[in-house]
Amino acid sequence: MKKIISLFLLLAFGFSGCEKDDICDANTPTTPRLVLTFYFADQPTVLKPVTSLKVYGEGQDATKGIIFNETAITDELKYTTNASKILIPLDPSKDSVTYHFISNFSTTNPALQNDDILKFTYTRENVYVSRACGFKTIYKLNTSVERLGGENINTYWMKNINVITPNIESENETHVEVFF
Amino acid sequence: MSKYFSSICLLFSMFLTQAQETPTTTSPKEVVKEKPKAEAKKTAEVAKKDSIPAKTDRYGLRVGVDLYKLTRGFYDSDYKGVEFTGDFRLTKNYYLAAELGFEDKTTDDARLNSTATGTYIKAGFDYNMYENWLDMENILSVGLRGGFSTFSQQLNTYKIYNPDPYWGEIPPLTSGQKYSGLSATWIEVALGLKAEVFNNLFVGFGVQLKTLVTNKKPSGFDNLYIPGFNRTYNGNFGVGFNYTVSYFIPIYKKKVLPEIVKKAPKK
Repeated sequence: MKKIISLFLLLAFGFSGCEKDDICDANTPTTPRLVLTFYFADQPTVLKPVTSLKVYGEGQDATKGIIFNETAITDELKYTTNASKILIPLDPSKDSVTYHFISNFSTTNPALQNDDILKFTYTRENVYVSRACGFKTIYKLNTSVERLGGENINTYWMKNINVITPNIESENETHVEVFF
Repeated sequence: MSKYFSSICLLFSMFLTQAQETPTTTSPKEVVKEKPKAEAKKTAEVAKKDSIPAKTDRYGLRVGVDLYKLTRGFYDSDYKGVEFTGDFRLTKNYYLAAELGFEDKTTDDARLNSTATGTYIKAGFDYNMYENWLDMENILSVGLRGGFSTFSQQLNTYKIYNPDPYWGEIPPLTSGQKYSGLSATWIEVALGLKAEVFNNLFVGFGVQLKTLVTNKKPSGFDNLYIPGFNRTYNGNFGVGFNYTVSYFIPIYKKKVLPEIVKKAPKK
């Protein structure tokens, strides 16, 4: 009888012991980033890879930026990309973010680089995901993207910016198309 | 010689008597032996019926309380709860069983903090697998319950999961949002042990394995804790545990009829 009692106790405490075992799976869709896709300005259906694009947030460290290449050895490679699609995070605690998009970024030849400053305005909603992940923020992007910096319109490297999916709920679709 | 003669005679007479005795006793013994055998059988049967009182099973209501839930409130500030248990003996091995409870539990997960408050009822039966000696009434039971809970949940704080914290980590947000009118039903397999420690006073342990049947979730949130069901997992699975003290109120007795009666219907 005593053996049974101790077995029951062991079982009971064994179960209560393994409560906090949840870890948010990396594949779970949580707070989405903004997906920008680049196209040729004269061929709006053909993807165009950017050349050494560096993106950093206004108010953030300008020497750093969004990490495009985690494993790169130099900062220049780490913070620049040559892809035709980039993902940039929005700020889940504010209603807008301002980003510098520096095309042809190069520390050796700064004269070539071109900085376009874009301000994305949006509304936020916090949505329940799961016990392990908590909540995520989804956004509704304002369809007009504001240009900052007071540049001459002719010096923009981005010719046209088009918000095609204002509801930013997943990273599987393009939200903003950029033509250059 | 004459002096010894008498004594030798006496000695011989002793042998004689002994020699005489053994055969005389043996032959009557055999005769006697057989008779008492039959008699002994009869007396034994009589003794069974008369000297040992007929075994009776007591039937009645056992009411108790879950000490684990009751005492947890003293050391766990996130928990308040009580569970009353009851069972009624239907047949020799079957018991109608039910539990009634209230729970107020704050679940503090890594990214969520929520409080579930509600009442529940579980009803079903227990089958006693334990073969008791004499008039012992211990129980080692396996049983089945249906459970129902109505409750409300309050989301206290939550965290936003942001895989790319370029703009910085967000502190936990306070919500206070209350979700009421929630309910859940489930089925559980209950393993239990009850031992009579004093006259009519039982202590027991129980472990329950549960599976959710229905779960009315709030829109925009989840039922992280269901009173009576306990913590929810990704699937429908759940576990429970209780430690009860209960008192047995005898209502009537039933004689445990000896085997002789069982033979009787053969005629």
